[in-house]
Amino acid sequence: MLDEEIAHFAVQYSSKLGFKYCEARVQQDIYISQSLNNGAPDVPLKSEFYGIGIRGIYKGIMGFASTNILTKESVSKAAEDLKRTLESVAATRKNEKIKMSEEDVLTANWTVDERTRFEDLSLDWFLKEAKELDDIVKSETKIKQRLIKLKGSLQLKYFVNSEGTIVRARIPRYLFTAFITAYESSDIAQRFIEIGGSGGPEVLDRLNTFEKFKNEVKTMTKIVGKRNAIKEGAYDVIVGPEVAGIMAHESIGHPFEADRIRGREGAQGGESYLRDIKSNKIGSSETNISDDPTIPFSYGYFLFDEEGVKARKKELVKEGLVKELLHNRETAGELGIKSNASARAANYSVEPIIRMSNTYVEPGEWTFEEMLKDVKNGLFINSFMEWNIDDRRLNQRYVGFEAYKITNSEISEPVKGVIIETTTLNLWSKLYARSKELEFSAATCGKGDPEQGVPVWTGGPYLLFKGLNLKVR
Amino acid sequence: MIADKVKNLIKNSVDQFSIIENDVDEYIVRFYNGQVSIAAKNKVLYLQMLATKGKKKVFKVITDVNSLENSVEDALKILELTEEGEVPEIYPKASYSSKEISDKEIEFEEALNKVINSIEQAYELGIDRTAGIAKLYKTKFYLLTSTGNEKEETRTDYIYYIRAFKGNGSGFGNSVSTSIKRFDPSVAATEAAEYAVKSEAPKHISEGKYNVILSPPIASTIFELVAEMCSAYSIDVGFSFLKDKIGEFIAPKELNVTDYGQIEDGVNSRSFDDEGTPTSTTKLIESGRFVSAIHNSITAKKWGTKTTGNAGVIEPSPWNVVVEGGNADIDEMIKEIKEGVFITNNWYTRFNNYRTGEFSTIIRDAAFYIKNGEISHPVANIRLSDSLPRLLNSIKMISQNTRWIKWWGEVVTPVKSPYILVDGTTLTVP
Repeated sequence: MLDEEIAHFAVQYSSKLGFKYCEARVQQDIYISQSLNNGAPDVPLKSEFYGIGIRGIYKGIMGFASTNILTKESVSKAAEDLKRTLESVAATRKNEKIKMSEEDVLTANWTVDERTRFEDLSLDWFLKEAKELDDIVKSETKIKQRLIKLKGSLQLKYFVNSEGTIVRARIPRYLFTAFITAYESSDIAQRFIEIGGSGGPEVLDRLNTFEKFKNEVKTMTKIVGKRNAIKEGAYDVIVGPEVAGIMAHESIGHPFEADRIRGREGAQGGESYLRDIKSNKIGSSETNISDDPTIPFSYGYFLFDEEGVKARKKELVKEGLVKELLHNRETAGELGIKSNASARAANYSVEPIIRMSNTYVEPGEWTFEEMLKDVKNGLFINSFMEWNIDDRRLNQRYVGFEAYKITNSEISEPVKGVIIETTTLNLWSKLYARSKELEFSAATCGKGDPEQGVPVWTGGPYLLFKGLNLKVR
Repeated sequence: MIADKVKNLIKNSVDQFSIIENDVDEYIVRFYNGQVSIAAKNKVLYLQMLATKGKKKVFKVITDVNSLENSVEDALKILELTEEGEVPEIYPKASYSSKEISDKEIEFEEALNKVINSIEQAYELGIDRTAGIAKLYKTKFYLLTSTGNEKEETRTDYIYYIRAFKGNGSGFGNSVSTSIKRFDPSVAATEAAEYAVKSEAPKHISEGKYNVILSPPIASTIFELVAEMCSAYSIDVGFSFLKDKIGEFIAPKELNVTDYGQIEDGVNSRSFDDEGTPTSTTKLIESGRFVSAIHNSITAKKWGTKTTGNAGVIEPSPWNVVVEGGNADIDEMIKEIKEGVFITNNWYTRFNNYRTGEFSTIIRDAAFYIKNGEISHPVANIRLSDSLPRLLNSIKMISQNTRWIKWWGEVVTPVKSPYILVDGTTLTVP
């Protein structure tokens, strides 16, 4: 049980100290993880982070304080120390006034269904499950090194602000990760696999974790040692949902974060091309990209954000045009609009900032077979390993892991080190077709300083790009 | 001390334990466009507890200091359920010596004034805007072990970085120190602003092989990665190109890289590791040769060697990485290059393959094309694509000057690095 009373005390006390807007979030995050390195169990880890984060505006400056000592004395001191800190800052500079967007005052409770509660799960479940996953890979002679990890977490939150909004939340999540290395003659292949969602431990079954991992292992052992380079040049390229997802996340999701556009993340994740481009056209009319935290059992699931605003789906790009940005109450307030509930905080000790949830390319009308038929001779890149993008989110690279030539409309030999290296506007201008499928991958998205890793899904259908320039590693 | 309470709760139920109490005071000031976007004051008191019984082990982080009994009971339950295997060895009775490199308290007002003045200085150089952060920490550590070790020490860390923007250019500056005396945001901000102004109107260059000078921020990325890949755990699970390379030359003889448990301005300094082992100074690359992996007690046992005091209960990690300065000065390095690029910073380094060391990283902030030994013009929109073994073997010159680097996302373990000249790296353009 969270100490809800201390959250109310924090808001009342801070308001009395002169904070104009104030919110408090009592939050507990419990993590259990068990890794197996080359089959040997590592030390099991259990971490509990329980405390209160208080955020408020004083003398026109946003301030944040946190403590894990949940006594009235300690919380009062945290608020007083913060006030003193903000007074020192205010004495040095004149800041523009912060205007938070007007939002509904509400009381809400939300949770995620779990057949087995996190609290009822003991460590031996993690160990047993991790070993069963390790069994899939341990007898594969080509796979020489492996790291298997199973992690479960429970997040409990109680949010209250000076306007009277109250939100209670309970989110269990599970994540399976594997890092495997296969050798065959002079070829060494490496692959990261991440499968995760919110819900009880049964979410791993719902996500077909065992089946997916088996397929990954099978693919790896099939292609290692048999991958050849291709000639660099322009190709018609089909990419799998995993590649579609990272493209959407990196080149659309991040640059659509309104705080980046304003420059607030300029020294960290950077700014955004949306500061500079003259037109609101991002890509072809096939470019439809959304962010939706309300997808049941998703890894980036939430129904109310960390500012107590009700979550909803956001269509970021619709038919190639910019439709909506990701906002919190501060960036929405500046524009005189409502927040679309994109504020998230990784734990009690950090401020809520604008984040993605589940970002994906919307599915289309094609089948994968129709795409193959259309391509005739080209490339199919189903997954990736190396990737990066510049801090304005234009110049990006994705290096294929599982990739094949398409010859006479059939998937043929595996290829190695094929690189998509292009700019955002060029990439999406070449999007020609989307398949009917919609698949997601789990990831931990990083942003902010202090660094805040938050769970997200990235996803999409199979995408067909026409005339994409490919390089080779 | 709450560590003492936990000790009393577990001492009769386990064979070995190491408890570290961390009492952290943190100040943060973030700014952009000349405005403070948020100021934070955080306080956290938490415990890290490693315990073993027979051949079983558990590690727990406890922040709920009001219900220590429940937390300890829970850890003991996990200990019962875990599988038998190799267990860490808590270090026997030791004497620890804390180097006097920290302040007694965080000097917040003085640090804040330095930070605010530095932003003003940057604007005076004609830039368009800035963004950055100052993070100040005071951490009181208290170690208690089943082997009778008890050690208290206090560390202060001052970390500041800034980006300045001008036109299509930008520059980066970083100040890292363990004492307010050497904390110098002014130098960092001036460098960021000067680079921003000089790179205001970058041009494109064509993709190809170039000789490059890597400034301390990007060189630190490289050496941090190399140091992490010296971790025995990284080598065992596939996160390193250094498998079976101990004793081999992996770089020219001029290159020396050392990990320091404690060093002035190394903001990750501590006199003991998570197993209670005294931290030490470990040569990783000596005269170009990979001489030692870094270990905790479990990896050391597996490798038939001794711990280097780098636990991490699962993964041994470097503390503070120092790359020894060479003989060159920067002007000499530039003169040496017929056609190349001077790179000031990077970001977003990702591997295609850790075993082969193939990676790429985005060149961020100012970079300058060099022609016939002279800086010609700023360049943008490039990516460095190489492999670590090739890059290390292609280091041709090392500067005398070295500098501490630690900043968000890219250089997490503090690294003191020189400028290095690398032959024939690939720069790509989209």
